[in-house]
Amino acid sequence: MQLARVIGTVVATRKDARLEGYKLLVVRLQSAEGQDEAGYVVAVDTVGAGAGERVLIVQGSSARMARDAQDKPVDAAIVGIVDTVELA
Amino acid sequence: MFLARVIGTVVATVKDDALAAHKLLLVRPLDARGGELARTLVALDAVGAGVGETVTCCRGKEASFPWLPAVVPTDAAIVGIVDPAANLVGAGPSAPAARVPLVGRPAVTARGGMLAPTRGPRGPKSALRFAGATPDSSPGGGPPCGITTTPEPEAGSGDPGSQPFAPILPAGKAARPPRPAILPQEKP
Repeated sequence: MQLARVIGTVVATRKDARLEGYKLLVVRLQSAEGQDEAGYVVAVDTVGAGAGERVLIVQGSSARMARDAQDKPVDAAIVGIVDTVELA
Repeated sequence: MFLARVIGTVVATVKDDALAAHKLLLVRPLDARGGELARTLVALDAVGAGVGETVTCCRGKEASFPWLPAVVPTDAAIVGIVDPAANLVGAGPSAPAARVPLVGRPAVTARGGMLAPTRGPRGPKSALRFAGATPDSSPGGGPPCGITTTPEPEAGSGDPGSQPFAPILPAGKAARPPRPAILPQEKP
């Protein structure tokens, strides 16, 4: 899993039928210190995240284990909204 | 799998139901010499690791297997804690000791001190162990291969089953007689 920040949304009218009803968000990966890193990911939102929030994303086939994402053509999912990060 | 160091914790109240009651830890992967890499990731803890410990992590779909048959949406999991003798706790990337390989070198303690190597330098004749040179007092040091008789248990020595392993041959089959020495034939 990786820390990321929601930076936008994606609207796609024509898409796989199994993706209908899902919110697609653009997230930018973040370091532990909260710095933005290069690259972005389009992830399915399963927890109701909003723009600007710091979230937890799962990539790969594990993304299909998120709630209601079984058998869906997704490889990235938002599975949590981060409250705090404590560094040692 | 890869080695990583636990550097922090993540708190998320709103999350997938299957992630409830699981600990989220921030880990930083280590290079082959024990130094920390720049990137970080969040791993689900399957073994009870703590901040500062060196752990082994698993990525991909297999990271969710520790909780089978439950389906847990994670792509990174902590599946082992490296033993303290080899644990590089507290050795950051800038510490010189962090460049010490994990294997074959003294381990670094949490206080920055060095532990004595657990094994002495390997002798040049390590194959001697297989030629009957192992002392009987060492663990696993039984008789060398090729021995043909079971040693007689001494009186009062107790259970004969505790004797070192040795093959028992039928009575009719004694040890193969030693080969006659090949002597150079004298030339007429």
